[in-house]
Amino acid sequence: MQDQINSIKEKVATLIKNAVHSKELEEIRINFLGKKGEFTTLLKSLGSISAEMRPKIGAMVNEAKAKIEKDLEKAVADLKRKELDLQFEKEKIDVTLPGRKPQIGTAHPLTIIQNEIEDIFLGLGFSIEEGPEIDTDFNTFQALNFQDDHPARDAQDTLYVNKDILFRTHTSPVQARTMQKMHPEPVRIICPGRVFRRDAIDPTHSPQFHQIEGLLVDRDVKFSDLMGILEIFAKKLFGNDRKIRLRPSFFPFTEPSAEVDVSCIFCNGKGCSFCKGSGWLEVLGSGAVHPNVLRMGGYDPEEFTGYAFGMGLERITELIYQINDIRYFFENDVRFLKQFK
Amino acid sequence: MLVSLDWLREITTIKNTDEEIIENIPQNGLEIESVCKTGIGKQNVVVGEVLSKNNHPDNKKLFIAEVDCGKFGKKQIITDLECVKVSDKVLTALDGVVLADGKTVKCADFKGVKSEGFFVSWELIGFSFKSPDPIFIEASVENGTLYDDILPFNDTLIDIELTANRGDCLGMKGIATDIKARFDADLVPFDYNYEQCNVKVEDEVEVNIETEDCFRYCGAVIKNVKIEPSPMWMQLRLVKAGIRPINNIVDITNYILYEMNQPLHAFDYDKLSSVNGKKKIIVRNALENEKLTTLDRIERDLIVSDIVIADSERGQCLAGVMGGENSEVTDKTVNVFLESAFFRPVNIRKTSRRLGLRSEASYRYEREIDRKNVDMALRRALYYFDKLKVGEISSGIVDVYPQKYEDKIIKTSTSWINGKLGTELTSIEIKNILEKLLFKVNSIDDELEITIPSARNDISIKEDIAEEVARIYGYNKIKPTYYPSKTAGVRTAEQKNTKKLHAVMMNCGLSEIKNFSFVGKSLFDKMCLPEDHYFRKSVMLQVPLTEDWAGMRNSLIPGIIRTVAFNVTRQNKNLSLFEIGNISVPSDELLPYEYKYAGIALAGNKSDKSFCENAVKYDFYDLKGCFDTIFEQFNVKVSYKAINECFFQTYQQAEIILDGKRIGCLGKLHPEIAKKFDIDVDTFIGEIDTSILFAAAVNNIIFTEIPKFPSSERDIAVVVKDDILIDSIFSVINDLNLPILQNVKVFDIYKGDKVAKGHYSVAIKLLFNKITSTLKDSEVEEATNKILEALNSKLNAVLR
Repeated sequence: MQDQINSIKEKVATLIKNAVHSKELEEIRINFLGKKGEFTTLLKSLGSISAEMRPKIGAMVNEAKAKIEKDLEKAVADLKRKELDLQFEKEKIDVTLPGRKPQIGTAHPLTIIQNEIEDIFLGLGFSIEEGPEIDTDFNTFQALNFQDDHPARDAQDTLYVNKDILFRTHTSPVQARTMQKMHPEPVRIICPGRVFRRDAIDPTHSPQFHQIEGLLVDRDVKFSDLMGILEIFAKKLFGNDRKIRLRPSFFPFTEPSAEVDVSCIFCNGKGCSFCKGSGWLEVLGSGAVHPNVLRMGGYDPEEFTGYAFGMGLERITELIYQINDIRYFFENDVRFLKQFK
Repeated sequence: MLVSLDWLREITTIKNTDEEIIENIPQNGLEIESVCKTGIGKQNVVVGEVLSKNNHPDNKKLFIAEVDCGKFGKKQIITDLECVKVSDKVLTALDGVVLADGKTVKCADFKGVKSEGFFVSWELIGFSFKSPDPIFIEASVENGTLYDDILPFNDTLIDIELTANRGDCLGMKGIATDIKARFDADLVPFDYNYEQCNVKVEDEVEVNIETEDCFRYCGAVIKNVKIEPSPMWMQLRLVKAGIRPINNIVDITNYILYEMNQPLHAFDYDKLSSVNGKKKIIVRNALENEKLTTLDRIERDLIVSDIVIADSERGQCLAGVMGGENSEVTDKTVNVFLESAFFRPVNIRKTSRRLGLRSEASYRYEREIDRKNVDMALRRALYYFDKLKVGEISSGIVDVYPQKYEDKIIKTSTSWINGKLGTELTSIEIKNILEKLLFKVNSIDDELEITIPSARNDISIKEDIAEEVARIYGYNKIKPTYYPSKTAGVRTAEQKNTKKLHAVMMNCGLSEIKNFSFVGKSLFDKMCLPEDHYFRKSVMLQVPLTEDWAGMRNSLIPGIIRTVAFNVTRQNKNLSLFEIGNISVPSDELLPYEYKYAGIALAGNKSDKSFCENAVKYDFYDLKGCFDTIFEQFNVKVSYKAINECFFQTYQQAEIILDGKRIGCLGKLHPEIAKKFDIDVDTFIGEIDTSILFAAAVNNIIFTEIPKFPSSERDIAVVVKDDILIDSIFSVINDLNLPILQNVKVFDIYKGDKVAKGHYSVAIKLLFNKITSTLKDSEVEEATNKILEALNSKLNAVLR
């Protein structure tokens, strides 16, 4: 009986050793450990053995079964691993091949910078106002203190639809409209938008461009408050090291008026080719709203003061991204557009 | 305005260096356009007297001149200048001089004849003034004198760009007043004295002003004039200012224009008609149908707003704009009548614009000159007539002054100015600043009573005073302060929606473009649009920029096609683009209607061929999918209806309907039109009106329970007739309102031998689910059967 057990053990060990497929191991399990397997048969014949030998033989059988079970388990695991290895080898890929990229959309550079500027002013408590691109001569010029037949009108060669209606030359009519709508409540707005002028297109001129203007109307606001706002704006948009410098200027709708320079974002004021050695970049026009403009907006200039500022979005975007030709913005070459991620 | 620093230093007490002046001027609000140097430094450019002049033996165009260059000796110079005569003194560059064009003067050999120098032109010694002539020097200057020792040829010129309000700075006197205020310097008083002859001007000329458009008219008479070149010092000043020297009379008028900011006009006195032995000058508006031939020999048709200087017979000058041919000063002129006047700026502006005649005079008149300066400028001119010994000056001047200048007085206070600016200036400081600018200030305690100089027509309100104070005090000395907002800045609902739409478009893989808003006939013609197509009904410009840019777009589609074409012709053939922008539609109201539109274009391949896939082209459903995504994200339901738009390919186009309103359209660009734009890839374009979308959008999100129980799927395939649209199958199913039906998806469409002719098969996946409990098979069966029955009864659909 003991010999019989040992010979089965040996036989099984050989079979396991030679098995090359998990199916063969399953057969081994069925043939030797299954309900009709050799050990079961062997155990059934225990009855023919002496009672005193029976527990000993039984233990031997169980021990052998346990060992085979363990060996089988190990063999199955080994084989499975081998099979997986084989399968993986078949599925081997070149990880250096390029990935499959999902199509990603990009925002226009002018939109990116416009959003940044809007966010800065939203943070300063400004809201955003928009107005029509085609507006009246009244809102565009007269309400902004441009007198008829004054040389100041020459600076903005206007695209007229008829004598009263025009393609707006600046976003300032939105200021006029907002004042007419809001008075006598205080105003704190920016107005971004598209503007038009009769200009031939070249690297620095375009008959269409964008402006962002700001307007603050309240009691007791001072010129120095305007400077504070513009300084924060310059630092937040161009970096905390930036300084601003104001130069007196003239706009019909503001008095006093100022051009606002920001210390050069490339050389930080030392002087370079971008700032033509001056250390400063001209980025904004600004000033105190002319009392005539306030009056036409419905505010009493003795009670209210206003401050306004304006900038060219293309100019600022060109500075930030070092774009050297305004035409890129409206040609929409995708090789240009995809650069602004 | 070109400012010579030499001239500036002559009329002010400014002692600062060039660099200091250049650095500080912009703080006045005088923007420096450019700075340039004249002259070529200290070099051997000397006065040479021509002793003899002979023809070159071998070249008829050349002359051999013997030139006495004083201490530099006699030089032989070969020249082609015919105008140089014996005994003329001319500026001569000697051996070794480096000229402005970078070339060095060297002794040279001209066909065997030695040349030891060069007669220089203005350009060669560093002036932008173009003239082939040499520079003649007065006989009184000693031969061999270095050019820079004669007059300040070496100088710095600052080109100042003046803002439209600062007409007062168009003369040296005015700009010097502004600049000297920054440097605490003074003006040097001008000399107005001259010798007068015993003939009284009122015996020679009488002036009548018959129009309200002339506020002041002054005149003088100069007899027996000798017309000759003006002295070199005056010519040099004019050349520096960019003005061509002509002769003494013209040069004096130009000099006064530039020095005193007062245009003058000289008439040939003898060409004016006389009444009772006196010349009669009439200043009046032009008559109906009046004609006047101006100095440029062009006959001008005048209108009533033009101002004419006439004698008793006819118009002699188009006031403030251009003189008349008839009374032009010529070499033969013996007596001169000199005018100095003030005309209404708007009239001059209208006349000069209408006739396209823009002169130094009209430019100043339209910006308004100083009415108090009109007679002073004339006296100053007479001072130069005397100094230059041009002729005999009649005693006195004519001064007809019907509209007298009244002093402008502005009352304000120190506290008001400080309150506006955020400064803490004292009354004394403010007074000092204003007085530097020649304002008169009366200050009592806080109050300020300020008299404005007559030259400063840009100052009329107290805000102007605040600016004057601020700019001379220094804008940048004002300390920034911070005025907090009383409210938060937030985007409006529309702005939030636009931002969301922008994000959705980008998530669809689309890149943003910004097109020109301009559209025009040639673009529409290229799109083969019929004459009455609505795209053509745009808001048109009175004067178009070009044929292509003549009006405002009323659809984004034409511009998008233009951009697709631009890219495709530059080999960017795979495009997925979007634009959000305004369009305008003509209306019966004052202003056109303006809407914000969103457009999309897909062109070429969705994905190119790669190591694992074939190329996939964009098709109609890719574009529709983008729009569907937008509608889904804004929670609106739309329907699509086939249309027949001429610029789209037939059967591949639809309009989009939201709540019964057309919200937009989409389709495949017609291949014939694509070809006209050189677009050689399939292109799909669509647009929607965002105002309709945003109005219908549901943005308030309320959470719905997620099903906890497993869902169940059933696939069905039905055969229907060809003319049944998928949309109607969806409608039939949706109309059943089955609560457990979660989703319906078409996963296959088959047309061919296996179904009856004129029919096609649709395979549909139905997804069922229930929030409250597990679905029973019987419920799914029941719902599926209901769907099949409905499809059968409504659309004759047969289960395949």
